[in-house]
Amino acid sequence: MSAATVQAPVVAEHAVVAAPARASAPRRAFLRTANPLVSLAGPFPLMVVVFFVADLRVLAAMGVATAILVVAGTLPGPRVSAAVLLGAPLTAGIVAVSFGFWVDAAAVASTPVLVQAGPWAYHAGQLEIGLLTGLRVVDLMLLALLGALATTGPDVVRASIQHLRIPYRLGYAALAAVRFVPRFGHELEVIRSAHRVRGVARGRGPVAATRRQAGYAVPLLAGGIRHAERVSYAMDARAFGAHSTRTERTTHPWRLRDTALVLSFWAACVAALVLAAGV
Amino acid sequence: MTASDGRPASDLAALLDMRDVVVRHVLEDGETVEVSPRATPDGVSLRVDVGEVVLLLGPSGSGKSTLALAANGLVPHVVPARMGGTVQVGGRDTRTHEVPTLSSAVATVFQDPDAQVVTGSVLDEVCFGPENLLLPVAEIERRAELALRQVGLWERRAEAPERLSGGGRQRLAIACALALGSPLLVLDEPTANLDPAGKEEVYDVVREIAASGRHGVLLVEHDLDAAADLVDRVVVLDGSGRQMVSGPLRTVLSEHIDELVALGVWLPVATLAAVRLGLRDGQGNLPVTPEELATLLSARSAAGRLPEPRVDAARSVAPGATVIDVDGLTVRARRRTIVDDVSFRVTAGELLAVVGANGAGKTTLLKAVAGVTRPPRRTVRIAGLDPARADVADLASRVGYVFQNPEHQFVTGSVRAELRHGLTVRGVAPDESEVRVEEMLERFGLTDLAARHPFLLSGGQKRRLSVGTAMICRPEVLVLDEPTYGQDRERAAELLGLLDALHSEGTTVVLVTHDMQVVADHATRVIALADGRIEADGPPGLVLSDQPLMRRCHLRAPHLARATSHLPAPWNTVTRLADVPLSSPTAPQTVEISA
Amino acid sequence: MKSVTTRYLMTCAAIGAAAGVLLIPVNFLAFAFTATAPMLVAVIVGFWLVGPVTALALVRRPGAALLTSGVSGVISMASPAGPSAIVTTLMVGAALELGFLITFYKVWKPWLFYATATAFQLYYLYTAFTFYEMETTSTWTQVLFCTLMMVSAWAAVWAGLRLAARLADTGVARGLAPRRTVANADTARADV
Ligand SMILES: Nc1ncnc2c1ncn2[C@@H]1O[C@H](COP(=O)(O)OP(=O)(O)OP(=O)(O)O)[C@@H](O)[C@H]1O
Ligand SMILES: Nc1ncnc2c1ncn2[C@@H]1O[C@H](COP(=O)(O)OP(=O)(O)OP(=O)(O)O)[C@@H](O)[C@H]1O
Ligand SMILES: [Mg+2]
Ligand SMILES: [Mg+2]
Repeated sequence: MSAATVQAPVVAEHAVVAAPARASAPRRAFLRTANPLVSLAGPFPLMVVVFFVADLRVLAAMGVATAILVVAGTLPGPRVSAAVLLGAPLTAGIVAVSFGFWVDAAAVASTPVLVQAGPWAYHAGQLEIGLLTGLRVVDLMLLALLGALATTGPDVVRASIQHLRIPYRLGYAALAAVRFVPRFGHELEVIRSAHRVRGVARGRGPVAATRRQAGYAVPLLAGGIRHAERVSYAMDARAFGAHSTRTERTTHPWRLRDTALVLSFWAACVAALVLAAGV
Repeated sequence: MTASDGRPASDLAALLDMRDVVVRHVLEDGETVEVSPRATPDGVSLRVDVGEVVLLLGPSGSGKSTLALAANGLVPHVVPARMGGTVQVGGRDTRTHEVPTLSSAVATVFQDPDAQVVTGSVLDEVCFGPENLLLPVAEIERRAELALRQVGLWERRAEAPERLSGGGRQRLAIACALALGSPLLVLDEPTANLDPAGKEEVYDVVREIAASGRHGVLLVEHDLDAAADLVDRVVVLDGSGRQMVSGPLRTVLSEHIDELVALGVWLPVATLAAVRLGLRDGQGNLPVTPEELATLLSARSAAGRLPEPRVDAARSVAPGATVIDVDGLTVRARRRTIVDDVSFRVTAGELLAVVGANGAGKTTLLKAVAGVTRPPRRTVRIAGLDPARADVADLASRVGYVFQNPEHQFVTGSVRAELRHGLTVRGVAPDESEVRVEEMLERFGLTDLAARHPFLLSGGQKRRLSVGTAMICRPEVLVLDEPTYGQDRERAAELLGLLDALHSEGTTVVLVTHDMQVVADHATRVIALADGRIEADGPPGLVLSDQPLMRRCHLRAPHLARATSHLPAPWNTVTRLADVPLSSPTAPQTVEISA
Repeated sequence: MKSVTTRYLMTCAAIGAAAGVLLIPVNFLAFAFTATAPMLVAVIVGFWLVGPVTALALVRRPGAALLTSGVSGVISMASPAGPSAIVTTLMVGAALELGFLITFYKVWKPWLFYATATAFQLYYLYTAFTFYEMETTSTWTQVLFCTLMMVSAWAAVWAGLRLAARLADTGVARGLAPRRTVANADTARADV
């Protein structure tokens, strides 16, 4: 290809340069089209609240509401939706039972025995305390998942630069780091095969395996840091940090809708706390 | 510091004005920190004006990259180093201006195209610089479009930079530099990682830029053949970083050829061939491009004064035992076929070169053949083993593999330990391994650095160490991925000489390279890959002279072949520098080292 | 902001990216463990410490831990933890900075790394106790949980410090740490 046949600069007809297509979220997935900060500012207080609520019904209600919100708000497709809707109660059940085992049986000896096997008994009280943990775990997972499905790391970073006054140089360091990830994967593959042919930490068993893995860390990180150093020179050479702000061509506007969304999350926090205290 | 001081570079001020620049790197070894006793560069003065291309030439480690970094202020602001002398870009002193604010006066393209990508799309990448300059969106987009059209990437603006070829990414880096609007471009080995076609693409763009009359270029380049025709002036640094000569390229080459050859820098193959022949044009100048050499040769030939070329009969290999047998090898990664049904045999004592475009699958093929990655069963036999099943230790003692990036294969904390490692793993007695390590240190000029951490070596030293670690186990087959990459001519010649010696002792050598002159000069056989398939397999003379084939594989004929292809027989088959006869026993002895 | 070089930012970003990649499977594990065997969560908490400890020990500059963990949070958002990953990692990073902040970033001895990690882990234990209703569990469970968590943290600090030392040997942090005084700097400048 002689792509270097340099065309004479033509400007007129393409005066507006199309912005690259953003992740194509379904139109109606209102949480995905919302400002990325919503999925940070909304669910996070609820995650804290989960720690302080010790009421089974309130925790269960939060779980149900979040599960519905995950499915309706991010439209993750039939497979994930099914996994969320079926997985959540299942997980809660498993944690409840398994966690019950850790509970000191003596403290709940007065509650009815559910299962008796010889001298060992599983009390209803154990299950109840287990269920508390189970619901907390599930609520927390669902709230986290809500954010995970609604937005991506780079979008949160860009939005934070715009609205949270995070210095853009910090944000862009994180954005550039996202591009290191596939590179690390590739490098790791090469280093692994190089170490294999050079006969490093051969042998079986977890000890040899751990030593092998640890041996990869140094060349991988050293290579990564070298690369980062070169990237930083390229960034500096392209005026990175020349001013205290920079022009952003793509923006994440904060709309009224976003405020409403965050406020409703916060209202849910208050409601949960009030309900839990009132019982 | 405020931003650019808004003052347009005065027409009178040079784009770049360096006076007596001396740089000492700050060295750090564990807890001790000191300033390097050696200055690289050591007292360089140069000037780049609008419309000029200035080439910086010097052996590896002479400080060319350092000087390039000094041109945009990274030295001394960011790179830990002490700088003396003054550097002015567009009339501004780099010492009193910060790097980002200098970028409207100087833009830099570095060697590694991967290490210059910051964003996720071609367009975003070009806009990154102007965005940092706080330009309005409309202006940013105007500049981005202009720059992308100039390098021929506008149609691909929505793609991820990773999807571009190496040459494409380097053109993107040039577009990014252009979009900054800076009149001075600094290019530090912009084509070192590229296949010949990518190299040509990049230099076509640089030629356009130089011809536009709006820019000046400071260029660092090893492959002079690719760049010779666009260079106006050259500044030569000697091994210790001092400025040796400077002036118009042709004059410097013609008047200082012996010193330059002795210095060990890369020189145009056309020039070297002319020196061997004792050929100069009417004004007593040496040719610098293959085209100029062709003209001179044709004239000589027409006048009947061209001596017979040397033909080296010893280079045809007598068929020996099969050492490598590849039969229907296919390698897939992530649902892509990278090596596609490849079959070939290599007999003992061949020196096989594998060539092809960036991404053609050369590295992937060699890794599977050498057992670095496991090939499917029964597709490969090498040195009597099937790498799919063989024990790694067995395989490694018979097959040496040198990785494309030497750092990947270093596993210990010192040069000496690195060499000893392979012997220890193979249970060689300590006394003997001591002897062999010392011998290898000596042979590769690493004795003084024996205690150094391998990562702290220079690029060339790292490469030699990695070859040493493979050679010390005395393998039957030695596989090398781009062994001469980043080396100066002297080092490369030394390495290739070593390979030639090993090869004549009976070791089978397989190597990947983008340098067709190396193939012509050293290989007994070439395999050309395209999209994971073998496109051609045969002796270098035949493969390298097949123009349509070479183009299909994104390759170009060796520079010497470009000068000789139009001559009458037998000159039209001359592709090796060694085949060019020495005209007189006195003058050109210096050129005994082949390119 | 001006005094912070891009090279320093990107070095932390690289360590953060590696740590973030490590944290993605760890986040999945954490989800699985919380759901089935919370005792095992105590074993993996150390993973959140390795990255920031390495960065802090390698570059020895204020903010390195915070920056590294922030980046690792952004990277590990690609796991079920979502944006909450950032909150978690930032918390760890900030906690690690605290120990060095109160010594005015003058002390870089290993004991300070261990002490800071221990202090953070005690705080973390407290929150874990509320979350898992640990008071209701038997004493040996509590002891085991605490022990595992502490051992995990100390192991992480040990690994981070060792990794940093080995990285320093490779020379990648040259000129990043401001602490070291440059020998014969003045003479060098004089004759330059
Ligand atoms: N960051 C650094 N720290 C310490 N020394 C360095 C650093 N970078 C380069 N050097 C040393 O400075 C000298 C000049 O290096 P430089 O990279 O400028 O050489 P070069 O002429 O570009 O060589 P090459 O042709 O191999 O690219 C070398 O001796 C090198 O080891
Ligand atoms: N493990 C992998 N997973 C996915 N793609 C891969 C993998 N390894 C290589 N590739 C791809 O396969 C193609 C061939 O790669 P390879 O490294 O073999 O090319 P090459 O001929 O050595 O190129 P170069 O001249 O640039 O070194 C490239 O497009 C590369 O991106
Ligand atoms: Mg260089
Ligand atoms: Mg390759």
